[in-house]
Amino acid sequence: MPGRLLLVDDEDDIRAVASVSLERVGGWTIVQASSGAAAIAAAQSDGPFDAVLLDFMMPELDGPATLSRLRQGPLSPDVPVVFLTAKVQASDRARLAGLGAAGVIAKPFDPMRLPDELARILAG
Amino acid sequence: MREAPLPDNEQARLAALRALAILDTPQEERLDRITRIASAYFDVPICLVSLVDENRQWFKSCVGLEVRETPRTVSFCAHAILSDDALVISDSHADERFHDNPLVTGPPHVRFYAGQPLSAPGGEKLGTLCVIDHRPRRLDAAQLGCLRDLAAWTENELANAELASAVGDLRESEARLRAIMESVAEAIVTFGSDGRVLTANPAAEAIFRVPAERLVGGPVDSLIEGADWTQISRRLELPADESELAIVGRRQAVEGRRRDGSIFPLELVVSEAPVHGSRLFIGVGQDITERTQSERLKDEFISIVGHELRTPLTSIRGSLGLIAGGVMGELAPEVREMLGLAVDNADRLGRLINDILDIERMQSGRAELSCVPLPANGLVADSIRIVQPIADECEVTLSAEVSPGATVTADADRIVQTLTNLINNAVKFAPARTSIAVGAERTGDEVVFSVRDSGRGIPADELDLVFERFHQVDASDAREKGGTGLGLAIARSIVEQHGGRIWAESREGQGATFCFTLPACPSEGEPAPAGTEGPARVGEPAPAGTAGRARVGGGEAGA
Repeated sequence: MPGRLLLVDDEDDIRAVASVSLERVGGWTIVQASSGAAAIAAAQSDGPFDAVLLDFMMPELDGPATLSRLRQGPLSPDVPVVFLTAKVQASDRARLAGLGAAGVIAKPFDPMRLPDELARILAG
Repeated sequence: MREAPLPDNEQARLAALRALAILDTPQEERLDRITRIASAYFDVPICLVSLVDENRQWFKSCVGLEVRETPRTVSFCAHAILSDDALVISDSHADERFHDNPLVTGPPHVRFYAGQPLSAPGGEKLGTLCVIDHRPRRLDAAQLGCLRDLAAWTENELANAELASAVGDLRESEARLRAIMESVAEAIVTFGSDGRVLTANPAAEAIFRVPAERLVGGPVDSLIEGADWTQISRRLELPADESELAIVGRRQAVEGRRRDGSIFPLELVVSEAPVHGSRLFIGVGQDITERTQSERLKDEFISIVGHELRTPLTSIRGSLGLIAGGVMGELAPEVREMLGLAVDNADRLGRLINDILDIERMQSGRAELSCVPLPANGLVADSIRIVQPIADECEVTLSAEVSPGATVTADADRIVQTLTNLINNAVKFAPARTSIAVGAERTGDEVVFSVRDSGRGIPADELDLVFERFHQVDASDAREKGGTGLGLAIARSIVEQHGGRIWAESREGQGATFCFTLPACPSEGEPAPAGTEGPARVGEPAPAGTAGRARVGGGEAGA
């Protein structure tokens, strides 16, 4: 069930596309962050969130580092985090999931299917 | 009687004689045949190879005498060795040096004596080849020449000419080998079955930064990070073709340890040779620091290219998708059609990027394989499930024909990728309302996978070419069927990296069958091949010890 989602990606264009998709197709309420640090700040001030969609490769704090900082307090442990990544191998997905994320969505994604894919991961 | 004076070089002469190590050795045919020939040729009752020792003359070979030695004081030969030329006494009775010599006045009654000095390789006179008669004789020039020839032959035998030349050859070949050992860039370290270093070449000194004299005698496992001789010695026994843990005959990447404790990537090949009944191991190592660095740079480059291409594509594909999906408002039919083209081609570009990065990694051998035992039916079922939606769209039936119990050792993701590629291809070229059979069958120690369609088939001269990159049987195929032209090339790379083969069979007009093999995994109750210890995981550090780190890292970093 869609709720509030924190969308973290350093690429403005990708955030724009993803938020239109998730808001208009998926019915989510989106809060955007353009870096790991901004994500941590948003989690502290704009929460609570029902899910986080987190870019894997970002300058300074990357996806895994951001995730571990988020888990140290700003984000409740029961909030699922899904990586967004340009890595495509299934074996890579397994490794990424091992970092404590609920799942992985590959770039480029189909914006008409993105909300479904996210829902499927969140449903476990 | 006059005793012979000592030669000027007497000490050197005696040393040369001793060096032959021939005094008091048994008679030998190779010298006896010379005295026999000489005695017959000169028609004399006595012929000797006499060696003049410190206080005696000793006969290495003799015809016509019972004794093997006489005192030097009465020796004719002691006189003969004072000159380069033969000493010829035609009649001892008429020679004041010998007329009262006991050997003249008593047995063996030497009346005539001709002795040609025998020289050591260094020129020292060792003794003579001499012929003796009981009556006065003269030798003509031809006979003297013959005596010289026979003496030269004797000298050769004494110096054991053949052995000497063999030793010379050996020295030469040893010098050549040493020159090679000393000039190669690879470290060459030999060690015995006790784990101690026997030899190390200059490259080994340079690579491990330790003088050879400190290496030799030391433990060979100290050169490899994390190595332990107990484990190594066990793994040295494993046959290369049967065990991932084998050392002998397998090229492997390990970490070398320098004397200062620093470590570096080392590519190592160990071979074994029996030497004098014991085992000699030869380790040839190469410092691959530079190669590893350039591989890392290439990996980084590929990772960056992959990321930089996909990021804008994500935005393009995303915006197009949202517009085409009607999210931004209703669209005129023509606009929808054009957007459809744009979306399809953005998708195709995405697949192309994935395939190009994929094939680059597979063909450079930098893709990691996680090989585990996998039942073939699971692989086939997974692949069919993935392609099923496309097959449904094309009205093509997919069926599985897997012989029970067929199990392979493979990387699941990669094999599903291969099968999906092949099935996808078949679906694209199969006419509607036909079926595609996906099979897996155990044959010997491999499992043969097959994907059979009843499409238009492939001309015989194209059967091998279809696996080339960007090869299409019909130039219009790629666009029409939405492929990247890399699917079969990727499939071949994956199969070959698993140690399998891939091929296509077809009769034009009667469909095509794509087959590939993978090494079979012994099923339960079947003995595992000797030396294997559980599932092999290529691309991971071997259990503590030296062995194979097939390849570390590689591939793309995340985005």
